[in-house]
Amino acid sequence: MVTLTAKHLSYAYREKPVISDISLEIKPGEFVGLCGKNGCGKTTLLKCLGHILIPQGSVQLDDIDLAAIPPQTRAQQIGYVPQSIYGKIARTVFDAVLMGRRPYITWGVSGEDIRIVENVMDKLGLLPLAERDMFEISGGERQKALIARAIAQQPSILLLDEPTANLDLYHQLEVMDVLTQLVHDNGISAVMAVHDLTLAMRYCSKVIIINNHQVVKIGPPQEILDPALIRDVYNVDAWISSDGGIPHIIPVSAAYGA
Amino acid sequence: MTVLILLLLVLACISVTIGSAGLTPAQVAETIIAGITHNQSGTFEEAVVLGLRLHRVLFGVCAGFGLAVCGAVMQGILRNPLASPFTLGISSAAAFGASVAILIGAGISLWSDSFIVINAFVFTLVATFGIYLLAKHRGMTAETMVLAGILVMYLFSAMTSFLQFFASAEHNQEIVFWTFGSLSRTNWEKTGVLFFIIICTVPYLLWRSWDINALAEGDEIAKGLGVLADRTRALCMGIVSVITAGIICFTGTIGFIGLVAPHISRMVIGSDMRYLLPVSGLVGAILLTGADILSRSIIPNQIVPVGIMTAFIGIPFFGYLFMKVRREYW
Repeated sequence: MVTLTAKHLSYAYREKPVISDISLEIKPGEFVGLCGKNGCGKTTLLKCLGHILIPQGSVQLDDIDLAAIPPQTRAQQIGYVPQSIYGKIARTVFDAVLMGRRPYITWGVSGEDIRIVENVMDKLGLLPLAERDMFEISGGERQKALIARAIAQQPSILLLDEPTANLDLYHQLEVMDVLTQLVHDNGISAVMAVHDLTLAMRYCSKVIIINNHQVVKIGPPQEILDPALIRDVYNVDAWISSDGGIPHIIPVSAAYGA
Repeated sequence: MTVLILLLLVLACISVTIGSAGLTPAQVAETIIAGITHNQSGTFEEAVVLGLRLHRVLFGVCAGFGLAVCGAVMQGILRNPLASPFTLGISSAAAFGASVAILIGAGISLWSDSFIVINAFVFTLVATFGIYLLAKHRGMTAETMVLAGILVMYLFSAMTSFLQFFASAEHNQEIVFWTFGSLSRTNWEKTGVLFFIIICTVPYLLWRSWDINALAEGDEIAKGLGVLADRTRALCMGIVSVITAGIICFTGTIGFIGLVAPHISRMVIGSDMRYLLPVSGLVGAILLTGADILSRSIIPNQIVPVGIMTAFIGIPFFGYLFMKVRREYW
């Protein structure tokens, strides 16, 4: 299992900085939430961590710079789940998940690949959809298929961009439970960009709060997520309740003009 | 797949048999067998079947296969259902190259024929390089490459029209005839060259079909799966343009197949390139062979250029599937 270290990451779109001078470390077994308001750079940071975008600064897996690792080997170490895929692809759900094995396959698909894919699809309840086309299924199911694909990559680090954005309550919990179990059982780490602070508080072992393109706080969510921070970052007055043992954040009012 | 191969074989047999020489299928078969066993006799049948028809049919099969594979690859890597060698300027560059050669190499000679071929080939590569340069400047995304391709297409079309405007009626006729696309200019050497190009390139594209599949879902997905998106796209474009150049420099513009054969195939088998490439290729070969049969039989004792016929034979086929198949495929 590997530790991912980012040092002084900066990225700009057309000279407009999106993340600037971010350093962080993700250890094996950590489930990390990236939080911050829209446009703060969560997705860009996630992409830079996986070298989907090439940032200034360095990203290292253990002590090896990501730039020095061949793309195929990198894809065996890091799985990336975007929020959505491009357009309509006439491909069955099974074939879509099977593409996660691409970093291991040159041409032929082995029995082992099939077994891994079936296993992942079973865990995420996707097996009944295996022969359906990707765009016949609902947006949420499609998102689950993308998550299944990244898991089938068997990476040491999973990068997920809003993995629960299109999911209903049941499937949100299902996906988060599967990810938590995966992180726990396999000692991998997961980093997800997430808007739902309650979900982050419940499932993440660590959250990274980004504001104005920089990290403003890192730590266990129960310790660092408080009404003052939420007001600072989101301009929202909120209170945190722990009724029933599960902490949840209740937004009360938007602090307009703050 | 087996059905397609059988259909192609049947069409190829019909194609070798029909013609104004009035040979029976048995005579044709005998001549081909004699040709294969090197038992050549210099007969009339031999001259017609081996000298005129067989290489034309084989060239048509290779050309249809190649154009369709090119279309499938381009639609995949550019994520655009309208991408094909024809719509992205590669064909119009070849037409411009041929026009220049027709105008410069005015005398009708063997030399002028090869000059047209070489010029068409070179300009095709020039166009691809132009697309590459334009796209590189803005980043090798699917969108920039499509836009650059369309720019290149209009540029070369305009330049060809410009030449035509000043050319003599005779030259104009030759240029127009070239742009119709025809299999009449083939011979065994050209068929050999094309076969060699196809054999060298298509297996490579097939080998990269996982990468093309990934690119079809978006660059981020592809990069996340360890595919060098920009480099793979540029490389595939380069290969596709060599195949296209190798075909249309000999035949003239045959536009429709590269666009529609992949769509027909995709409607039936889906968009997995591992299967889509060979199936599109076979569908393309069938369409072009069918169009060639039609072009030689529709008007007695006259050969209509095959480039005109491809749409006539392809559209009913496409239309039928379009109405019948309810599967959303793009």
